[in-house]
Amino acid sequence: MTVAKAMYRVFTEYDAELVEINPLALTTDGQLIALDVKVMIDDNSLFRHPDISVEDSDYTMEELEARKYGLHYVELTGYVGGIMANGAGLTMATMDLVKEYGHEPADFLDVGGGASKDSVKEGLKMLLTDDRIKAVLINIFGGITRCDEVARGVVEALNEVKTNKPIFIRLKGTNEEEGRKILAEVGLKTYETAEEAMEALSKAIKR
Amino acid sequence: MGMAILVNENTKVLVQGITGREGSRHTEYMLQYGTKVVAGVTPGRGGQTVHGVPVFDTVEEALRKFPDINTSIIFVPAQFAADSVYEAIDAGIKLIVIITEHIPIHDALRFVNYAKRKGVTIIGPPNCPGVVSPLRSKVGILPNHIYTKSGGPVGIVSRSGTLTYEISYHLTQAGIGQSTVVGIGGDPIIGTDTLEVVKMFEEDPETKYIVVIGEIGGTMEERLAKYIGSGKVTKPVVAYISGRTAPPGKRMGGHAGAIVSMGMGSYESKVKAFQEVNVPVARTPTEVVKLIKQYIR
Repeated sequence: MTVAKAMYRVFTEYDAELVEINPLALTTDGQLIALDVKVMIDDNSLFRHPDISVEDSDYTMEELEARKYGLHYVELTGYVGGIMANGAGLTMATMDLVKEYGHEPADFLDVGGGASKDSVKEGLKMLLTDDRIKAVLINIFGGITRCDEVARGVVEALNEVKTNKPIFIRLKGTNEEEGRKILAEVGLKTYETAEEAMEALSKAIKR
Repeated sequence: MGMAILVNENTKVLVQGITGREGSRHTEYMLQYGTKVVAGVTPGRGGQTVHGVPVFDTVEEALRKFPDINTSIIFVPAQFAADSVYEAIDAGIKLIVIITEHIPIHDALRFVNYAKRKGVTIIGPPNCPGVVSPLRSKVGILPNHIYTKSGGPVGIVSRSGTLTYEISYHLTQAGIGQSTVVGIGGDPIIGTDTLEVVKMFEEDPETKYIVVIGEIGGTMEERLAKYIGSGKVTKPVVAYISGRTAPPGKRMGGHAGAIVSMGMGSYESKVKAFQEVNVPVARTPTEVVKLIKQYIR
């Protein structure tokens, strides 16, 4: 009972998502001892827990670096799409599309709704300098996100990082004309649908 | 029972956090869309106006001046968002759309529970794009230019933002309009789940077909499938689920709910649940349009 109460206190006082004791041992003299404990704290509650830092978390260096620019990055095991999209749902759908075409996605990179030029630039630089990645697939459906802003970020990244990785960009939505023009100036083609971009990517890389 | 669900011509909106960057910007977009935004609240900013909308210090004051306000949209920063939700509930507002991102999950647990007891509908939080009944009212941040065709037979309920716009866009391009589009948010604790929205669509005379955009994590899709299996949904349902290639145990970006843990909420489990009750699951977002078309013919 004391153990359960203590766990509940940790759960509520520390905004925990998970409090787990496993295993809990009973000694021969009747004492309970937690042999291992796992606690997961809600990132979003850190403003009221100044004693806990996100640096202490189990995020990888790349994931922490990405967070600085408002990006959500998760490393996957694949080799193909350095995937970058706006919105978690669309980014996952883009990963799934890569798989649908018989390839393995290398990452989840969500530049977020309303992505800025700088976050696109930093995100793309991460993908271009990742040796595992053979080709990059960018899937932007601009709602809040502006396609011209994304295009400027792409161009700036290419100015800063030398690369021979092919890049396939699907650009649709708010200010797409302007975005397409900016990319055309540096010789980058854009596609109407994610499927068309993925088809072109499939042809370009051979397994 | 009117046409469309949750929001319509009679929706009178209060914007909480109206003087902030996002609050002010989306107030302008909602007004441009034709939404009846009647007042805003930011403590300490009473007496000002934002895009012609009067600002009050409290929700109570706003309601005293505009008693016909029936809906609130919240842009208040995460640290203070919970307080603003309680304020809206206690003032008697019956529909609250929460746009604010990064609200602590323990805060959401408490106010979602409070809202349920008070009979208040909460949409979100967060990562929630809000609700639109095309050309009638938009309470949210969905892009205006996607929703330019009035009404239609398809109701959409979604855990995602951008993916919803994408599917809406393709449906509209194919000449298939939408009655109401509801983004319920991507967190593990949300005010209104997929099943509750499907029940609303089932009762809405305008909606003839239902599109469910789900993702990995949680058991919302499985619970919906079970309900469909009991025969209580007479309208055809088509689903799409993202996250087939997401690794287990990893949280996918801003969608804290999109995590497969302890064997629950996998892509396979959701697809299987839907297939068992004859709900077709699209392999790609664009395939949703094809599947809907099969029913319309």
